[in-house]
Amino acid sequence: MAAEERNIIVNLIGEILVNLYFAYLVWQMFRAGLATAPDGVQVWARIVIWIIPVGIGAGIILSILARAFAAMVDHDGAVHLDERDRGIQIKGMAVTMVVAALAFVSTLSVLAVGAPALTGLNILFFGFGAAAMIGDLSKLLMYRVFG
Amino acid sequence: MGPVTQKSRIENQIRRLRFEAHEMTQKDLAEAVGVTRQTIMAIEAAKYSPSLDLAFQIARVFGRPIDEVFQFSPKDAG
Repeated sequence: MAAEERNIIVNLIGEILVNLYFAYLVWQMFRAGLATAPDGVQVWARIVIWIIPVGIGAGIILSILARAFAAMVDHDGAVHLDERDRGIQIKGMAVTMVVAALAFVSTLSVLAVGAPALTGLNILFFGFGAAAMIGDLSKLLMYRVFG
Repeated sequence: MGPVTQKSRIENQIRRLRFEAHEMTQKDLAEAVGVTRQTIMAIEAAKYSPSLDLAFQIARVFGRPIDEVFQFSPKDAG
């Protein structure tokens, strides 16, 4: 497994954990009836503002752990990106952008038909999360299937 | 300009040339041209077509002209 593949898997695990944690917080928020409260959007925004550094921190910690583990089991040389890695990164980013754009259009669509703002914001947040994960999965697929 | 329905495929003799170069390993070749071993594996398996720059670097490692290392073979898409 290439070092870059390993990084992508670690990113993917981090993204899944953060999105699951955010889903749990949103679910709690709905259970508490904050979704329909006048300040529901404000509460949601505060959760997002706090979840962003949590996500970055989780990503850094997972990355350090993965590198430490890799250093113990794999002595394949220094980690660096080459032209194939960069090509796959660009294609994966294009996939992410397409899914993120779909999430944005979906958000606008549900808001246009009168859905609550919080529903639109959740679609946007989870849509962007899904975009990052699908982009990473597409990169793994490119490494494994298309060379 | 050729028909757009044709696929192009870059074939290569890297495996044979490595063997002839004192059984050079993929890792040695990768280090010589500054890419990962996985990229050399993908090129050898014709799953990845290298850039012109990388192709010239690989040819230079073996001391051969580029067309002895890489060959273009157009194939029909159908």
